[in-house]
Amino acid sequence: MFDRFGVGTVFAQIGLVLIIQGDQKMGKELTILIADPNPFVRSFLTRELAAAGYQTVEAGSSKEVFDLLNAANPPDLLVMELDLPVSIGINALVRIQNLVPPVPHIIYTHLSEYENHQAVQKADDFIEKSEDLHDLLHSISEVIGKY
Amino acid sequence: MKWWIRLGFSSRIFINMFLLLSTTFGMGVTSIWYADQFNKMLNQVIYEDMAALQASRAIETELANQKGFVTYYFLDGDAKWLNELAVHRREFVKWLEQAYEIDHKPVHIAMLDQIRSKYEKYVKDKDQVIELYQSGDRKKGEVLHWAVRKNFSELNDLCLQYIHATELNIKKVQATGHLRLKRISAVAVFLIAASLVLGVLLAFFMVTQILIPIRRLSRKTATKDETLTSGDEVRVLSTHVQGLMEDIDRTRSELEQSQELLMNSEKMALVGKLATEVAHSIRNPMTSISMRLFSLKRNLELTQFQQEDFEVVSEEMRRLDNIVRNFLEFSKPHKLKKQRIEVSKVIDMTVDLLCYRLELDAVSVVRKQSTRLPHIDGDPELLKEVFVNLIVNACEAMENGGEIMISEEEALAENIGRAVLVKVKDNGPGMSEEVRKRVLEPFETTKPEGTGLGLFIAVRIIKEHGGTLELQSKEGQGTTIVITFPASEEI
Repeated sequence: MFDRFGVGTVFAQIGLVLIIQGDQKMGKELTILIADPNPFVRSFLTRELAAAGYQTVEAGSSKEVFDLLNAANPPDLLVMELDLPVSIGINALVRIQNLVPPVPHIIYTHLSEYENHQAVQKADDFIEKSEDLHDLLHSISEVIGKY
Repeated sequence: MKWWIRLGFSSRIFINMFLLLSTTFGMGVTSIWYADQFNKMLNQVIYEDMAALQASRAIETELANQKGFVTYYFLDGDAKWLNELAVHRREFVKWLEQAYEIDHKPVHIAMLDQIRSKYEKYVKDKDQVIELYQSGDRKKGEVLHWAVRKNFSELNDLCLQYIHATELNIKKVQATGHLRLKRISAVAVFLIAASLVLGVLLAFFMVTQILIPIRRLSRKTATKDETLTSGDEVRVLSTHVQGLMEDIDRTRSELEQSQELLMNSEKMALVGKLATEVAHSIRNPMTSISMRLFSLKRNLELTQFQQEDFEVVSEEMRRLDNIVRNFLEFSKPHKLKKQRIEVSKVIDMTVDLLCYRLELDAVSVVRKQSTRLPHIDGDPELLKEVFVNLIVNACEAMENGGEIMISEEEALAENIGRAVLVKVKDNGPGMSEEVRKRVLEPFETTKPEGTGLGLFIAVRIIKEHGGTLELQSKEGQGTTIVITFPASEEI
């Protein structure tokens, strides 16, 4: 992260980091990538997360996820459904987990049977999809707090 | 001996039997031939040699009998002596002719010829002597008489030689017979020995190549409770071969059936896979609908009717989700994590887990345990699922509350051996025969909101534990589920 800002004085660097982190904690300029094959689910989540003060981008497939992660302004958090085309997104998940720097990610899926999967366990959180978004919102704020 | 081993078994048997037969046949033929030879020899001895001997003796006797008559005639001149002499002369000739008839040996014939010519001369001379005596010239007659007497003794010698020759001949025949007997005995001894050896060989083949294999085979095929007595082998073998044929027929039809079953189960597996995919695909939009409904509910001001409609839609969505979730849970491949456990503890945990539900339904659980039950090898989580299913089923069956009796005992079960028996008995309404038959099938349910998978999954889990689940029920007498677990091996 420090490299992005070039070489400066130690103090300047520390100050800058503090400012960025401060901004994130206030829920501003924070982008969440929503990865789900169902456009209606994506739009619903976008609406609800916007109401909670988050900016979102959407991806309908693993490919789109990686495109967005490699874009100029990468998202700060990834909320992903495992059931992503093509096939179950375990491979995509493993690739995401191997990225440097790491991307905070929450698995938000109806595939509850994957909860104990090795890769899924490495994720920041696992939420089973339900109509009530309370659990998801709670998890998002917790994971953001962690980073 | 290599060629002998290379020969087939049947060829060996046939060769052996052929040899044995020819030996026996040869023995018979030899005996007949020998009997014939012996008969011929006997005939020769009796009708030729013995007769010749007899004739030779008679010739000699008759010659001897002729002696003296002329002397007596000389002394008293009585004619009766001459008559007697004539009688003996006839007898002599008769025997001599007989000897010619019987004896055909050239040496003997030569001897007989000599005797005859000598005898003819002797008779002629003697007749001359008699003539001389009759004419009264006694002196001259006496001189000739002496000369004739000398002839007589020569003739007598010839006769004795002939007797000796016939006697010798008989001895020779006897010696030949003896030699032949020796030869035939040797041949007979050889043939007897050969047939003995061949007989033993044949018996050996019969025993080693037929009887022993048959006995061994019948021993193998005989069931344990059949005791074999000798002579039973072929019967037992044929019975069992028949049994084997029947087995083959049965196995073939079973194979055909299982092939059919396999095709069906392959098809079922494919259908199952498709169904799982469908269920997964359905869950995603269903979640989406639920989310929107939830959101709507939060923001809408509804009339009472609208509220009711809304509740029904939400409830039905939940039910749909439940069905799909249960189905997916069922189709999910899972691994049995077996450990040595006490069934009672699993039941304790289940009852604890469900105490709130039991209280709500006014159902009491009564436990009945015999002391010190064997452990079983089982997956406690899965077994807990089974008991939850059974207890919840029982609660739902007893609409107005009731009692569930859970008893555990040790038993010996068919095909399992030492086992732990768990009975879950309710005093609900029970099931009709028709329902009872269908209730273990998947997607069969008596409950308006059931998925029809609970008991089906329970049966599958118990089967994976090597046990059985049976359902006993009669209308009006409650339902009892009997689960049999194989007991774990004692350490």
